[in-house]
Amino acid sequence: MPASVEPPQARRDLKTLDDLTTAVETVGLTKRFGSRAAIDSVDLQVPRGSAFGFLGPNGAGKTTMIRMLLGLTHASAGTMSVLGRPVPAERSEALARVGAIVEEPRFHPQLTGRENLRIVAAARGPETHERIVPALRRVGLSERADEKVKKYSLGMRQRLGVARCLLADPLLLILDEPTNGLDPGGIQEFREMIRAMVEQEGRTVFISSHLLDEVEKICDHAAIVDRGKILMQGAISELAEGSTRHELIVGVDDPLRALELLQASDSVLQAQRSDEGLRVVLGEVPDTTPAESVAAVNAALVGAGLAVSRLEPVRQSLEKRFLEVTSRLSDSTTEEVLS
Amino acid sequence: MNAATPIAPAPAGPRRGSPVTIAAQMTGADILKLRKKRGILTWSLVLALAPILIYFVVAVIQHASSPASHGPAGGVQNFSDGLRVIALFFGPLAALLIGVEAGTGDAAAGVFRDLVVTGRSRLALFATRVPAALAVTVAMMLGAYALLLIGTFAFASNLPTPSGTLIFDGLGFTLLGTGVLCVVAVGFASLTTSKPAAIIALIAWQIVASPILANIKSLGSSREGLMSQAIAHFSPVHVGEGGHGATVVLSGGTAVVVLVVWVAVFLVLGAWRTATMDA
Repeated sequence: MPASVEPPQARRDLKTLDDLTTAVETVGLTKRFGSRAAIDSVDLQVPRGSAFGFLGPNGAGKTTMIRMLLGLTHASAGTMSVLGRPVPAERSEALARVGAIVEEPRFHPQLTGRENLRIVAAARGPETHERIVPALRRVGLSERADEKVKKYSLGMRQRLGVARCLLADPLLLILDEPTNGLDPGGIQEFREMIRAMVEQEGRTVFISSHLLDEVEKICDHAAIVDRGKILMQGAISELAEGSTRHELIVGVDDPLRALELLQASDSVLQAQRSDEGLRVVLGEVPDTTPAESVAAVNAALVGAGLAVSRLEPVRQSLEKRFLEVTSRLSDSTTEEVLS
Repeated sequence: MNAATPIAPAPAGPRRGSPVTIAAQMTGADILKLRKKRGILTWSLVLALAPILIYFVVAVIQHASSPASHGPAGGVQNFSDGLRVIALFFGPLAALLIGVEAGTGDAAAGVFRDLVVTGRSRLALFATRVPAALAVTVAMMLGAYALLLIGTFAFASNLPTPSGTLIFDGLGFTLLGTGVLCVVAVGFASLTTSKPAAIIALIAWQIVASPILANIKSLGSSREGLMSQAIAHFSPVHVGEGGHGATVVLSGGTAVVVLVVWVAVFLVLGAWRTATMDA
């Protein structure tokens, strides 16, 4: 019987590591606890070299997803790969260049920060020990590295958790709610560190969070997850602009007259005065693009003899988009958000 | 946090380092965890050393206060009594505490998942607990045995002292009794993942249930399967009614098989649980 001409999957992956475009890929990934699906047929692509936000409300399945990617729990169905390696088949190779913090970072409290890193370095391999000192320096714990971890604050433990991740010289960092316990200064430093890792070092950072503001500030790609399903994923700007809600700030010489005109217009859902001018929410008109609706508003105002000094689309925030697509839309907050 | 300081780059591809080097480093890391667990270490030291100290202090006081009715505190007889204390009673308890700590320490501290995330095989993570626990146990029991020998010779007065063979056999017996208990404890604790449950169950079995079962003659030859009886078979000094000092009479081959089965079963169960549990 002739030998297969196909190289083993692992060797193929190893050769193409530099060419990988996705750091994480899942297809139909499912995790069931009894009859309840914590993760339900998720197709996820995390672009390599990006800061990727995995955004969802509490209980959406974020941590379960991370635990499956890291081989901490088995998937019920579907396939996944991390850095081009199938998990769990090649878990060891896949995780060799992955650093992760799952839930809150935990350590042996009776050991010092440095000793805790030695424990993990021993499991990762001999070459890892030389990274302990620079990793501690990078997270600002050099001075406190020889204190027992039980004396550390939560913020310090978060930093030590990041240092533990760095021991792998990770191509991919997976961080679960990473800014928990950090003070405002620490959060700012953390953001800068993550951006430096992505932009200067080409690492991929996967951040799960329920904090929209945090994801919007740190990440350039995101997926919104709720009740175990990916509702949408893509670049942050695309996600926010994909909103069906289009708003304008309009500046005119006669706001009261303009308001009457706009409120009577079919293409305007809502118009009201604000500090910036008139805030106009455009309605959906069949066969009309948002740009055409904006032009129609301008034409109506100019046609009525009003001088239009400002016509500025309001940039949609990820927060609004998140609330639109998650289950929060169906509860009592909906009217508040859209009014 | 410093955004500018780079970390030394790692090579792409497979991990570096020989399996022996990695195993040695992981075992060293597990020893470090046990060494720094002050509470467990202190109690284990107390269990291993204090009974011998107390034994000799009491024997010395008795001999000093009433030399006619109490002989010198050292010599062969006192060596035998002390050997039973450290090899069959308190030494195994110390070994049990160390073994349980080794088996549950990572899970109890919540760091097991962080070790799994390194990509290192779960079986390797389990396997290194055994030599680490044994290393700490052996070091502790060597100390206890040294204390026993010091007392035996220092207070022997005109009494005969143990021969070189007896000293060697006694050391082997001590390390066998405590080593087997330690390994079984690592496996059992890894299986239960609960420190209190493992300690209570093992102490109840070894100190309470096993001696009772060994004395129920109606159980017949099934009593040969008791770990405590198999260990006692190898005692170089008299410890019971049966041959070689055991309560139950069993052959040397049977005793070896019984111990191997106990160790193997609990290592397999502990490894299985470590490899399959959600981290």
